[in-house]
Amino acid sequence: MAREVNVYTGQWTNTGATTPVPRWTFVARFEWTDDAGLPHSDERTYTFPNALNGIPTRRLRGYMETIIMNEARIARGIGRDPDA
Amino acid sequence: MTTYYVGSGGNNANAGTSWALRKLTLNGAEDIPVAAGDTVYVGAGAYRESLTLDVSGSAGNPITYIGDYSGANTDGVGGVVRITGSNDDLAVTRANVMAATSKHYRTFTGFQFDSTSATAISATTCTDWIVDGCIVYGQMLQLLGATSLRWTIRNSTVLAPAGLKAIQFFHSATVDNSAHVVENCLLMGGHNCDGIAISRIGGITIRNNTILFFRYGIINNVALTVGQTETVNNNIIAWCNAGIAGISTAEIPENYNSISQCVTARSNTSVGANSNAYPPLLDPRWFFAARAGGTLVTPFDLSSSSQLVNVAGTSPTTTDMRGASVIGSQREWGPLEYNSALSTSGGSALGFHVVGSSFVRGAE
Repeated sequence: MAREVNVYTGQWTNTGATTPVPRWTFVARFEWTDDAGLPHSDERTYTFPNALNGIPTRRLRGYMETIIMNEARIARGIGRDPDA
Repeated sequence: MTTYYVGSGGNNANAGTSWALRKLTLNGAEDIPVAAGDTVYVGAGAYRESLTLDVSGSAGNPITYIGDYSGANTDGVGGVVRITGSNDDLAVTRANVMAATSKHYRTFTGFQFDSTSATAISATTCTDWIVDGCIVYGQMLQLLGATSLRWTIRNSTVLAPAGLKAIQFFHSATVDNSAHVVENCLLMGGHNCDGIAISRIGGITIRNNTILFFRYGIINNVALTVGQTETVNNNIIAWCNAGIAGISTAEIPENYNSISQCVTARSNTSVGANSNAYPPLLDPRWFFAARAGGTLVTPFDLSSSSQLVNVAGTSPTTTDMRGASVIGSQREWGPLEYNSALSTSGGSALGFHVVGSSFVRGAE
């Protein structure tokens, strides 16, 4: 995969203040060293929820079920808010 | 500056001023009350209580509780000094081991805090604490309140539960220049568990720790005051989702850290030139010594107080990882049979012995 991956995020902007669903953008810069020792970098702006469009359903289902089930556990008192 | 004693066979009606007149519980000592400069030696055994701290020490005169593993200051025999907020070792649920609000200059050393699902030390607005040489099964520290300063956590081990943090510095208001230090600690965790989680507190130094198996090894959750930093140096961080995570780049200057086998090594830190991604390659000799029938206790042997000792199970093995026959007719769980004859020192089939915290191949 890679020897090392570093991520820098910033410029988080709430673009959904007047919309019925959450929307935001942020800039992410990836810097990584591949297995051959070569450095790489890439920076781009991501938008939620638009960035979900390109994710295959089989993976999106896994991510989303994890989120939904974590919240369901918290609501029932059998899970913890991970950021509390 | 009085020395008090706590131990099995004691009585909270005693004065606590000698081993013969020892208190039965830590709360019994605390309620004397102890005073600035006092020392409390606690003898080997399990203390099933939640200690409520009533008193503060003072600058240069902390109140010190010492778990006397060697027994030199208590019964002459020694052993593990375990404090657990539960009467039931079968249960996962525990009360916090210790709670303090606005109590300062306190020191704890030499204890096993068995908080399992809860927190060993829940402290609200407390300053100038030292936790030294303790092992925690559970969350070690939840530091809450408005302002807490100068905590030192060192030479300790934490095996933290899923969903919690090994060490949590969490304040309701921004705290600058806290001067907290976490050093020489081994922190291990699990799912949705963070090693050192920080919210709204600047000026924390994190150095020379080994931090394994967390969601975030170290995470700063809330942006700091401009100019405030957390300094992270000389740590080994591995097998985490993310090694070190910051909110903005300048907040976590880090250098001389080895971060490897993480999905993301770091995010938003200011990485120095001397950090690296070398796999830690931890010393495996304890494993081979154990496989060769050694007499060493490994970090994964069950303790004598474990409820998993001699519980019958299905499909039991007849020998353990060491190749030793299972003792008795019942079976234990895990690969390492509990054997009271095993020790942390002395020879083994491969001639290893323990020096400090490292296994050394003995030439002698």
